[in-house]
Amino acid sequence: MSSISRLKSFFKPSAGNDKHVARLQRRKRIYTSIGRVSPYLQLACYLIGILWIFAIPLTELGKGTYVDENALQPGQVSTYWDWAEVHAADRFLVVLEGMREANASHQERAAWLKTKFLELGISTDTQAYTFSTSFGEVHGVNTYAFHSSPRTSGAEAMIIAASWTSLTGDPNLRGVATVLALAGFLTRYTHWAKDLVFVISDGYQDGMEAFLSTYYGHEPKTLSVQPLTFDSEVVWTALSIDYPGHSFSHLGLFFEGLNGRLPNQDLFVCAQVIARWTGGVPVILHNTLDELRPDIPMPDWLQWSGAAGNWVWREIVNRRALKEWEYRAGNVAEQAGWMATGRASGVHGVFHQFRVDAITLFARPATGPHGFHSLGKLTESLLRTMNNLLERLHASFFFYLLSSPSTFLKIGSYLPCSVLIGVGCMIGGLRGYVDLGWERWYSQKANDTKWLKRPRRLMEGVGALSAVASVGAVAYLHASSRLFAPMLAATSPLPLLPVILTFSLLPPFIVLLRPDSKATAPLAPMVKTCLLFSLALLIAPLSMLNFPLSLFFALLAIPLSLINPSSGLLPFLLLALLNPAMLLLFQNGRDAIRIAVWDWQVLGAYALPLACLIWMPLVWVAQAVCIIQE
Amino acid sequence: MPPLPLLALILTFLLPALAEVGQERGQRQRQGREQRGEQFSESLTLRPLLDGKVHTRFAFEFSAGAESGTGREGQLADGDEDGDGDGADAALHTTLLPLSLTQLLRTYDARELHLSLNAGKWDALRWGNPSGALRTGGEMWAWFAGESALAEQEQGKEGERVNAGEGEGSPWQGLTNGLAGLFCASLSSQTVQRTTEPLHAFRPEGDLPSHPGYRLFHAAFPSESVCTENLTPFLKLLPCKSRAGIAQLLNPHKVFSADWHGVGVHVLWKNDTLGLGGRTELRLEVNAVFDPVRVSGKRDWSLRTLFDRSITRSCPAASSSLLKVHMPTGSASGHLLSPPLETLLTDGVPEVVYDLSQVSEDVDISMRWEEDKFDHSKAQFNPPELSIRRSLKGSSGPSQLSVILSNTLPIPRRVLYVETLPWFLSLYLHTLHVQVSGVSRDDLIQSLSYLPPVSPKPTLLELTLLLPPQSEVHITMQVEKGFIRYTEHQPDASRGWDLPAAVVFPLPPLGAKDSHSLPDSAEGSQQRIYSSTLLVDLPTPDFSMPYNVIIMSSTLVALFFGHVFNSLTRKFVLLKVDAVEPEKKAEGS
Repeated sequence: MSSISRLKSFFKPSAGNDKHVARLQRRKRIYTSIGRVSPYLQLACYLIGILWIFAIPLTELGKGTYVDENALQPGQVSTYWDWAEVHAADRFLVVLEGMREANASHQERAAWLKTKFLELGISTDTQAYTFSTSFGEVHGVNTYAFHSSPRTSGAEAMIIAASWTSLTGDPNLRGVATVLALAGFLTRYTHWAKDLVFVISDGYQDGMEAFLSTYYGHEPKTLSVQPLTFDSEVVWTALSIDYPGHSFSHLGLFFEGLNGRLPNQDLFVCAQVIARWTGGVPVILHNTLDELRPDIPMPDWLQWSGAAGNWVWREIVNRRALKEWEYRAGNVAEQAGWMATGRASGVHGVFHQFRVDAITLFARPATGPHGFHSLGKLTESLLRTMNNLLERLHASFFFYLLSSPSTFLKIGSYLPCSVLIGVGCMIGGLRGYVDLGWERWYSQKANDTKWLKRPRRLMEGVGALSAVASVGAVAYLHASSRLFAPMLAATSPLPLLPVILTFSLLPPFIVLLRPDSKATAPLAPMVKTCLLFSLALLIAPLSMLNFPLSLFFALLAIPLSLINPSSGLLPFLLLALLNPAMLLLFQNGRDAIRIAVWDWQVLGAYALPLACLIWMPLVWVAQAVCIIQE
Repeated sequence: MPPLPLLALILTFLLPALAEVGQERGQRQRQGREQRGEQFSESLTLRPLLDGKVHTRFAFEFSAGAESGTGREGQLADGDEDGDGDGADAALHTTLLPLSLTQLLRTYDARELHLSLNAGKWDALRWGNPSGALRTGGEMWAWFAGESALAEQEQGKEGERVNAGEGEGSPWQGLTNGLAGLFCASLSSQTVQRTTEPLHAFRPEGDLPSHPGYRLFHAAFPSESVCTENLTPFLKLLPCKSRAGIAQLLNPHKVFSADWHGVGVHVLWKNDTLGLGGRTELRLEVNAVFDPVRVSGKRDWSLRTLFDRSITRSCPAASSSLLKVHMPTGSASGHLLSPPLETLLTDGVPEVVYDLSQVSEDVDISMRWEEDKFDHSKAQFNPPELSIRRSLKGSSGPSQLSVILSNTLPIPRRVLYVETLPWFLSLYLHTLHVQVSGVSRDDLIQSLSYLPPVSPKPTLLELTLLLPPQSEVHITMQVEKGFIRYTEHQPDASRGWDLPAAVVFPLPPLGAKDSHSLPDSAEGSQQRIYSSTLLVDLPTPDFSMPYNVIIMSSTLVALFFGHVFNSLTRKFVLLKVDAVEPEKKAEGS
C-alpha cells in the first residue's frame, strides 16, 4: 500500500457511511495519535530547542549590521576636535590625577569639577545623594552642567556622562577629563539642535541612578537626594565615556541595560561605524578582542591516534569555522549573561528604564596607539549623529543578539529555541492534564478494561503550588534584610549553611501539611502539570521581553519537567542542587549574590526578587512533586 | 568719445546736486507727514550682558493720529467712517504706516495686536527680564471688537461679519491667516488648537475705545520658528526697507545665527489726553542676543563684528534715529566705547546715545574690554526678582507638571500664572498642590479660573498666587496624556508635541486700586515672564507598522468570526459512533 493511500485510509475510516460519523471517528483517531506521540513531541521540542541554542553563534544565522534610521547619517560630518582640545584634556587630567593621589573627598572632587564647568561658562551645580541599603549607606556627589544650545527651544537634550569609577573598578580619570574637554569644546559650536547636559556621576552606577531619578522625578524611598537646579528636558540618547587606562587600543561598546533592556541597535551601529571610519579605532564588543583563538596543538597522550587523530585535530578542533563559532558564542554568551542577570554592563544601563537609548564607549586599556585625540573625535562625530535625530529612535531595533561588532541575530533567528522548549512544557502539561481526567477501570466480570472519567484535583494542585511558591517571599525578605547582608562577607560557607539547608530543603515539605482528601486521582502529577503550565506560560512571553532570561528558565525547565511524580528522596536531593541558595556555597556565588542584593536595592535590578520569587519556588515545586506520596 | 567716461563725468557733476535735492525733498516730506500726524522713529539699543553676550533691540515705531479722519474712536487712522464702504481707498492715505498691515487690521477690526516670532531660550538669570515678548516660538494675541461692539458698527455696515468667535471665518481666523501670509509664518494651521481667551491675562497695553464687548484671543505656537523668510517681509514694512538707517544692520546671516533672535509686531491704540481722538502706534521689533565670546574669547564687539555691516546713511523718513548703548555696571575690568560720548542716566540706566539722523560716513560703534580673555567664572549673576521653572516629569504613566515660581524680593508678590495645555493633556485640578519648602501652602492660591479642554480646544488655567518673600513656590499637578486619533498625528517625524510656555504676570499688591489690571513697565509693555517650552511624548504608533497591524487584527477578527459563525449555523444532531477502541481516550471525543 502506498503511503498516500495509507494516509487516506487513516483519515477516512471505512466504518459507517454517514460522513458525520466518519468525521467524528477521524477526529478521535487524530486525537489518539497526538496523545500517543506527545511524549516524543515534547522531547523533540526540547532537543531542537537545545540544538538551536548551539546554532545561534553560527555565521549563517547572523546578519550584517546596518543603520535603519535615515536621519542619523553617521560619520558624515567634518570634525573639529584637535590637539588643542587634547591639550585641554591633558591639563584637566593632571589635576584629576593629583586629586586621586591626595585621596580627595567626594565633595572636593565635585567642587573642583564645578569650578571647571563655571570657567567654561556653563551653568553647573552639584548634587549630593545617599542610598540606604542593607549593607549601609551609599554616599556620593554628582556634578552636572547644562548648556543651553543657541537658537533652540530647549525642549530636548543629550546627556554626555562619565562616572567617577570605571566599569573596570579603576577611577575613570581620563573619561572625566574627556567630558570636561568636550564641554569646553562642544559649547563653542552653534549647530546643536538639542541642549547638552554633562554629568560627572559619582560612584559607578549609583551616581547616575540618583541623577536620573531626580531628573525624571522617580526618587525611590531609599534615596535621599538634592533636587536639580535646571529643568528636565526630553532626552532621547545619551553617551557614557569610560576611559580608565593610559591609552587604548580598541573601543569596547557596552550596551546591555538594567533588567535586560537594550538600547536601539541604531545607536550601537552608529558608534561602531563612526569609531571605525571617523575615529580610526577598531571596535570590539565589551572587552573581548575580536581575535580567533590560536590553534591548539595536539596533546601528547593523543599522539598514538596517528593520521586519524591528526585529521580530527586539523579538520575539527582547529577548524576556522569552529574558532569563529567559539568567538561568536563568547560574545553572545556575554550579552546573554548581562541580560539574564538583569545587570547593566555600564553606566549607560541606568538610562534605559527612562526610555533613553544609551551606550558606553569603553576605551580598552592598552599601551597604545589611541588616546584623547581619537576618542574626542569619534565622540564629537557620534554626538553630531545623535543631534541629527528628528524623532525618538523607534524602528523595531530593540531585539537583537550581537554575535560580533558587525553581525547580529534578528529576533526570528534566536527566539525559537526558548519558545520551542516552552512549547514542549505546554505539551507535557496538556498531556498530564488529559491523563489525570481518565482512569482505566478493570472489570473482572467482563474481563475488560474501560476508561472512566474522574475528577481532577486542579484546585489542590494549584493550592500546593502556590503554598510552596509563597515561601519565596520569606526568602526574599531574608535576602534583603540587614541580617543577611553581613553574612555574605564571610569567606567560608559555614555560617551560611543553615540558610542554605533551610531554603533548599524545607519549603517543599509544606505540601505534606495538606488536608486529607478522598479523591482517587493522584495529586503529585497534578502539581507537576501545574508546574509545567507555569513554566510554559513563563518562558514564552518572557522570550519577547528578555530572551536570555527566558532561555535560562527554559534550560531550568528541562530537568524540572522530566522528573517522575512521587519518585522519592534521591531526585529530591538532586533537584536541591538547582536551587539558587547553592550559590552561597561558593565564593563567586556569594559575590554574585551580594552584587544582586546591592543592585536591587540601589538600581532596582531584578535578579534578587527573580531568584527568590520565581527560580527558587520553581525548584521547590518540583521537589514537592517528588515527595508527595499518595 | 567712448560713452562710459562721458557718463561717469556727467554723474560726477550731477550726483551731489541730486543728493542734495533728495535730502531736501526728504525733509520736506517728513515735515508734511508730521503735520498729518504720521511719524516714524527708529532706535537700536545695545545692552552688554553679564555673561559677555550682547542684547540688541531694534525698534521701529510708527504712529498715526486718527484726527485726520472723521475720528471714530479706536479705528486705525482711516477715513472709512462715513459708512460708504470706501475703506479700501481711504486706507491708501497712509504714507508711512505699512498698508498691508493696516489694511489687514482694519478689515478685521483688531484694535490691538501683538505678534512675535522668536527662536532660542531666554536665559533670565544671565540676561535679565526686559519687558516684551520673550516667548520661545510664536505668539499672537489681539483684541477685537466683540459682538456688542460689532453690532454697533454694523448699523453703518452691511452685516457681513457676525461670526465673532474663533472658528472658521471669524475675524481672529482671518487675521491669523492674513498675518501668516504677510509674514510667511505657519500660524494658521493650528489656530483652533492653540487659541484661548484668557480672562485675566494679556490685558490691553494701549487703550481700548469705550465701547464694551472687546474680546481677546491669544494663541501660542511653540514649535514655530523664525528665519529669513519672516524677516524679509518684515523689512518690507519699513519706509527705508533695509537700505538706510539702522535697519541696514539687519543682516539675516548674522541675526539668525545669534543665540536668541526674534521679530515682533505690536499695534496699540492710545487715547489722547483730551479724550477726543487718539493715535495708532505700531512698533516693529527685532531682538537678538549675540555671543562675541564664542567667536573671539573676548567680550569686545562692534557693529561690524556683530552684524557684518555698518550704517552708511540715515533713513530720511525717520523723525529720530537713535543708537543707545547701555553701559555695563559692576564689572571689574574697564571698557572703552568708541567713538566716545557722554554717558547719560536714563531711568537709572547709564547709557550712551548716538544720534544717527545725519550720517555722513560709515558708522561703526565698538566696545573694547581691557582683558585678554573673558573669564566666565568672574561673572556674577543676580537672580531675577521673579522667575519661573517648569518641567514635565515621569517617563511612563501619568506625568507630573511641576512649576517652581521664585520670588527673591523681601516682600510678598502677587502674580498671575497662566498655563495653556493642548486638549490631549488633561490636567487633574484635584492634584493641584502648592508647596513652599516642603510645607503645603494651598492657601497661597487667591483665585483660580479653569477652562477644561474640549477637543480640539486647549485647557486654560489662570491662577492668582501670592508668593511669600524670598521663597520658592512649588506647584505640582498630575497630567494625563491622552490618545490622539490616527489622523491627528503630525505628518512629519514624531518629535513630540510642544507645550506652549507658561506665563507669569506680576500683579500689584491686593490693596492697590484696580487689582485686576496688570501694571505697565517703563517701556510701555507689560512685564511678562515666560517659562521654557516643553516637549511631551504621546503614545505614538510606529507608522511603519500599520500593514502588520492590519493583517494581525484582520486575522484575529476572521478567526473569531469563523468560530462564532460555525457555532451559530451548525445543526446539532445525535450520532451513534462505534467505539474505535482508542488506546487512550482523548478529551473532546
